[in-house]
Amino acid sequence: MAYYQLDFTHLHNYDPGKPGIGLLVTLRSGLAEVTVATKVDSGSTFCVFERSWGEDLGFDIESGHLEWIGTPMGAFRAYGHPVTLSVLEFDFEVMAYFAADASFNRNVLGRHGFLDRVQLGLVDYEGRMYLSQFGGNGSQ
Amino acid sequence: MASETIERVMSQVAALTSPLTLGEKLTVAAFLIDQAKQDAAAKSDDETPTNGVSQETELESKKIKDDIPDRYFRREYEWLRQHRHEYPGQYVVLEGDKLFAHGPNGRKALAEARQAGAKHPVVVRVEAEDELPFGGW
Repeated sequence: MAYYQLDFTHLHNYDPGKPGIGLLVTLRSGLAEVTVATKVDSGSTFCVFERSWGEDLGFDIESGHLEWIGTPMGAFRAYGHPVTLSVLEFDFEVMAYFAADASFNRNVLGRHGFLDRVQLGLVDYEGRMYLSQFGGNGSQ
Repeated sequence: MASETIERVMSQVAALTSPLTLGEKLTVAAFLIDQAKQDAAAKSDDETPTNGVSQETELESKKIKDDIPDRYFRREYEWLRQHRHEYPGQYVVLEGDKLFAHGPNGRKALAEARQAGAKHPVVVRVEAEDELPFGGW
């Protein structure tokens, strides 16, 4: 049997008793910033946030890059805007998508903009998330 | 240190950090504060303050440190662990272990928190106990 080993620089403890794998992240645009609770979602192609937080950063939401995002129950519109996404001690320049619908109340960290920027290990039973910046110490 | 020397150093620091992101600049600032605190601690081991300068330095250091958010949000996570059940279905806005605002409208709560003096507020929507589990996409 082959064994594999990964090394990580950071550990985040989350509450495994709560729904989702929670992580607080900060979004920045210029001098504006907002820190919100998110869930890591490997099934999501993009990092998607509530409209309010994009507006709070000063974005004209509909002027961003339109994406239709599919779900099992249908599709919704979201608009991409460039932000700095800060997670623990990492800063990523990414495209964050803000839902057009103001009633959308989810914030998720998906593949583009988060999972493709990190090396991630999960021990969900213990609520442990191990993280390294991809390309940094610990990356293969 | 003469004021012109400080100005020169600050101008060099500004030049060196200009390519950094805001988060990276905050990390550098936190590093400098830690260095200053260590220097102050080492100095206080050698001499007893007689004119309050050390206390002033400590207070100033604490004030600056309070302006820099903890990137691990330890106190916010602890507050949520202890109090989230008190605010089901609401947005709570925290800074450290202090609750600044809460309510059903996150943006309104955030605005209230900033008005109340929160500099780096954290917004969390607390899920209600009877809320359906998120299915992902």
